[in-house]
Amino acid sequence: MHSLHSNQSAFCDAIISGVDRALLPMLAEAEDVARRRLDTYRSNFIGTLSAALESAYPVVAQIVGGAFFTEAARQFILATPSASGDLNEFGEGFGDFLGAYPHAAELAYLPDVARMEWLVQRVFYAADAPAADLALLTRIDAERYGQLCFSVTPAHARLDSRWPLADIWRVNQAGFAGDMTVDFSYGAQLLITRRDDLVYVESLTTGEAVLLDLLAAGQPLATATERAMATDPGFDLGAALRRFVAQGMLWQARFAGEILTGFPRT
Amino acid sequence: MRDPGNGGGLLPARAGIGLRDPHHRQVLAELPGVSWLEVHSENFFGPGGRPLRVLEAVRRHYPLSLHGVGMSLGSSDALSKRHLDKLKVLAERIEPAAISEHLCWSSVDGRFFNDLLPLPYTEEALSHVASRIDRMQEVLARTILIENVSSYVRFAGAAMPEWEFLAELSRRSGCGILLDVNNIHVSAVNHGFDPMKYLRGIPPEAVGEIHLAGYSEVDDFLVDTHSRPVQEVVWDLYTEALKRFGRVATLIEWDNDIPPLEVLLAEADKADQLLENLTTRDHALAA
Repeated sequence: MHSLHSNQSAFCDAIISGVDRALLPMLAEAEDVARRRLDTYRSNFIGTLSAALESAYPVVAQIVGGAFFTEAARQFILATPSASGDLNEFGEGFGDFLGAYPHAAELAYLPDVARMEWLVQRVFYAADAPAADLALLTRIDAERYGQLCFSVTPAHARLDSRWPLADIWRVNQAGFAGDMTVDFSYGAQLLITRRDDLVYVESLTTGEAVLLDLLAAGQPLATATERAMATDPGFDLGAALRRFVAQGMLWQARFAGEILTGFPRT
Repeated sequence: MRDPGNGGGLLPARAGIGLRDPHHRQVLAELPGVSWLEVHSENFFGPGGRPLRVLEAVRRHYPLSLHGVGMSLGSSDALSKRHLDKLKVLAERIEPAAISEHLCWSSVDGRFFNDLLPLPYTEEALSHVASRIDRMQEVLARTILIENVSSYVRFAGAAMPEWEFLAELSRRSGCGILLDVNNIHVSAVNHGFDPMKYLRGIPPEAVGEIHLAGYSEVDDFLVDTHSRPVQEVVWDLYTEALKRFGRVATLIEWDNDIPPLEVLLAEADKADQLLENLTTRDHALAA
């Protein structure tokens, strides 16, 4: 009698590599019947994971078209084991795969589009956090604001790219009816956020990107501001803070060990 | 602590529908008169955002069943604590009327197929799956329902038929049975057994839920595609199942080529008619 593990491992070989030598003698069906029926399991496997990729990467699919996406997805699925029973966790690394995929070589921006879409999916499912109640800041002397540290909402992601990802994202959204022309001569410092359960992809100025990254890393406001101004002479701290507050990015303020927690928006 | 019964006791003994993403908005806006809803647990494993908000809103209006597709209960790998913990967190948040999983495996050596693959019906597999159901029920602190899947191949050297395996699993672990009548028909045609024999092999008191769906024909065998209306032959088998098991919560499942909500509701109405028409006499005669 075969053990459960040898049954399953043989099944795996038959599905992934088409090597059914070990499996066929374990099955009740005649070989020709078994082979045709194993094809159904093989196409279910590819089909389910392809659908998961298509749902995570709609812009990549839109850019490359159906047949190209189907074949790229098939090769990625065979090369990249799914590691979870939750399909929403499958597909990380598709950007890196596309970067090494010879048929996508002419679409140099495609890997970054995929990396952006993976972050969009992560932000979509990320934990909720209440926005900061900044009225609490009136308890602190204004000249000591520099010592404030912030927690940034978990429902955000950052990505820097040499490609204009925010524009590529915008013109590839369902229902977009404007000018499809995208200027590829500049890159993007991308902020992916969620407001009222919808995900937004936007560009930051260099100063805003530096400020946000340093705040997210736990640096105090003064340090983050200095670095932002040094990197970006045009940096406007007031405008940056207003933007991040309006976007619900700043969740919790800490000052001298005290946590000034925000209230839930509901 | 296990609650007594078959794990489906909190679901109304009426028809429900599988709630899928394309219908979320419409269901919340119109609150159609269907008795309960079922969702795939894993689609709500993310810690925040819209999916959970939608599910909580739906839960305020309907009894819900959490139907798992990714626990890989029959795998020779260790049971995923992470997966089970996420299910527990979701169950505590949603307070579902039922929690179910499949009699199958989906992964080996850490690699997932995200599919419902067939088990060998051996004593080894039986004690393995039973102990994992024990673990799930212990962590979730409730009885779960286990569903029979459609299969296209069978392992040779089975110690018992599938219905005996399922019945014994329920006896050993105390789990309820989610009987998928479509899957019984599909597997009966594919493997050449009598579906009535299957029904007669299932202990009526264990059946907590029934699933109905549409299959497709591929060459000379049947594939469980969940992409079509319930076929006539499956409605007939369902009628026989009701005679044996009495009024049981019944789900219309549709996962691919999802039609307008109205089509699903019409299928649910049909199941409700059969549930209502079932007389005590029919039930008694069959039992």
